[in-house]
Amino acid sequence: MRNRTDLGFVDEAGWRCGCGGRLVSRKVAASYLGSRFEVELPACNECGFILVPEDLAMGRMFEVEKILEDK
Amino acid sequence: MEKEELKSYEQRCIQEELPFCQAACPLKVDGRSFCAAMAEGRFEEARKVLSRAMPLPEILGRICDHPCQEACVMSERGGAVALGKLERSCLERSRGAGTPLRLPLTGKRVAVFGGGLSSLSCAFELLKKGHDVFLAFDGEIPGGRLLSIPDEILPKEILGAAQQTLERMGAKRLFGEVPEGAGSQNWSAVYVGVDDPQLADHVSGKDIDTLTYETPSSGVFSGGYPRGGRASPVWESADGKRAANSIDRFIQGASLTSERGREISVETRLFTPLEGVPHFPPRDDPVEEAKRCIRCECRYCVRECPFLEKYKGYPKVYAREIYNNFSIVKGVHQANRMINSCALCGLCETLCPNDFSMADLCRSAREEMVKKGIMPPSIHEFALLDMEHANSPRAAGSRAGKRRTKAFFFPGCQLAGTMLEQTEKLYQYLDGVFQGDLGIMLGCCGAPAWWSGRRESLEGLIGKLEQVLRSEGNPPLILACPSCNEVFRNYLPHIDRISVWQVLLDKGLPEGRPVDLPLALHDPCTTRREQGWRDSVREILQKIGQPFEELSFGGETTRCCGYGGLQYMSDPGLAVEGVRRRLKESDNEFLTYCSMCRESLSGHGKRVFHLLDLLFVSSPLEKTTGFSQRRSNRETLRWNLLGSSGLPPEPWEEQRISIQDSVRARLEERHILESDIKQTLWEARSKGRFLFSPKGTSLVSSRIGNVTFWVEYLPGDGAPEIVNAWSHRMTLELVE
Repeated sequence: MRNRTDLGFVDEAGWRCGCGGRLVSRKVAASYLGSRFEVELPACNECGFILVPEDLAMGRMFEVEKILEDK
Repeated sequence: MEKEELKSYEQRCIQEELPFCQAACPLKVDGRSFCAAMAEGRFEEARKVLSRAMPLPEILGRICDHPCQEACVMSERGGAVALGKLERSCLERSRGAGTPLRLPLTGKRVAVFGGGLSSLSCAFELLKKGHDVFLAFDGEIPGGRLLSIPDEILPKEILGAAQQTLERMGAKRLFGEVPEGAGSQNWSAVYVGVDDPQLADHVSGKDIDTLTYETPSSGVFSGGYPRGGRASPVWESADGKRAANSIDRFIQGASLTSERGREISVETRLFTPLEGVPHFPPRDDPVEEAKRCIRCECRYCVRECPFLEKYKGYPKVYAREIYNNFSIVKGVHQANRMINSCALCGLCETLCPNDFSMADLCRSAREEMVKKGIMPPSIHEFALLDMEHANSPRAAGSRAGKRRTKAFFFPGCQLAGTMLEQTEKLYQYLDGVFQGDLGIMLGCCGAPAWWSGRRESLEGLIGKLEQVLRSEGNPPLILACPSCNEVFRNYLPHIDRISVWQVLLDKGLPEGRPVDLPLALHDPCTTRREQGWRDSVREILQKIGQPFEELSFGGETTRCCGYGGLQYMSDPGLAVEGVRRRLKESDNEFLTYCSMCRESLSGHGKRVFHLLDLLFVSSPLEKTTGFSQRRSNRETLRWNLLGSSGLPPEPWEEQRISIQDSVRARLEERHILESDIKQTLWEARSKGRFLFSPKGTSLVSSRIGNVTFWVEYLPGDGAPEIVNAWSHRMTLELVE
């Protein structure tokens, strides 16, 4: 299953990567219980470290996990 | 769930049974809705309720002999609701909706003999069904016996108006004698109302079939005969209506008898709890009198359970929803959360007159969900990992008695986790009285596996316990936790179980440290069926001189603290709501004898004692112990009682961290353990990946099991200070 969702999130906290890179919006595949979505998330332009900010994890991402679990 | 199983569940819930007044009424008038409309002064609405069941209510409503009143439960609270009077006042205050509509005409001709209420009712019903009705009676207006009723009660013009209504609906007048059989004059059927004095001797009551109203001559039906030696208006009307139903079936060639149970029966299985219903004597004003109706229904279980209340239905509805939940192939399983939110405490079963058990229903649904692979993985995982920890070598283990094992003491993992010091003291005390012949077993009984529908995991665990017990000749288990007791009652039935309270009574109590104030005694829900446990506890309290208060919902009707059935995992808000309501039941501080009740009830503004707090170490809980501390306590107890597990420490155990209380509370709520934080920090350091913010914090993450943890901390010279942590279950990877 490949969908686009509104999981995307812009980070406001000003995080910088320990490798020296910058966080930029990058295309990321989010997977759970056999479902896969493409979303835009902040990730390091050098090492590719993907950030899941607190508001996203505890908010929309949590809701989508619940919906997928009840499918 | 099989259809048969659903039916058996549905059948037990009596919420949809008829209220007593309606069941007692031969016409099945909905007295509950009628009173509801009258109580609001909506007389036209009330009249509609009457019209739904009553043919020609303007007649019967004035003269009804109201058997409903004898059935009214308010007779136990000051007097039956005066439904007869209410019907009359409704008719005096309303106009009615005019001529009723008819079904498409059938062209079938039915002769109705007699001017009594049964004949008029029969004619009315047959006209509605679209048949041609020919009405035969003597005199100007119909009425038969009714014509002799004084005008103040039943004005003659009401009878005249009824005749006009029937004529407007298409009834024609017929003059002639009752024929021998229906066929003789091309009638499709004939009705003879013996409540018309002219026809009283025409058919004998004993020749009439009481279910179908058939007479020995084919196609001829009859009703309106006296009941108990007396004329009964409501029965006359019901006879006419039911006979019309038979005639309609007869004309269509359908069965006269099938599916008529609800029409005929006067039985109801409804139960209406009257606790809390005040004594309320009858009133003259009809609106005030209608307000005395308590709208009989059961909902006994729903009223007393926040879980049943939350989903807005009642057990019969829930059983259907659970059944439907398994039929969904594609789409959302709407009932998942409901199934997983029941505390499995058994209160509903105790209150229900038919023993409907939501616990059995939800537990078997959970097992089926697990078997089918549709159980949402996140709901119970944390509790199951906690169980795994409690049974890991770091927290579990056993040791036999020195010479022999007269009994095994099994304190239970939550007692060990929340009351380390008291558990240790208790063990030492027991060890002393058994003079070294007491074995000890530390670990979890498997309750979380049982409650979450993981039957296989539970049985595996029980199998291991059985091995240990067998190696010592199956000695009895001394139990301190009533949940362990419930699991073992079901899964280790061949092993004797004794409550630690009984052992203390038998072997001698420690001195005890009662507190001055009376304490509200909260029985754990897992002692609902264990009177022995409850009695022993009360005996101990009396012996040590601890004053206590019995709660009105105590003993076998006690309530769950929200830990049961893992309710606090699937719906933490609901669990807290239950706790708040429970604590409001008394102004006193609380006392219980289950460590998880103590844990769940704590932290809401009242001190909560465990009986062990009164026997060994007095440290009532004001705030909760928490998941992380419980794990650490279990490991400490194992170390103190059984020595080292022999396992090397986890590499992150040495990691020091500092957490402020407010942050700790958030982590507990998010089910993030201190060990998760330490492991995340340790793994991040080995990978060397982190983010940093302008405010000086660092952020690291790691995947542990099925969860990704994020930890934000302030690095420093000493232990890093944890400022925040969160988690998610989704996995992420860059697409490009």
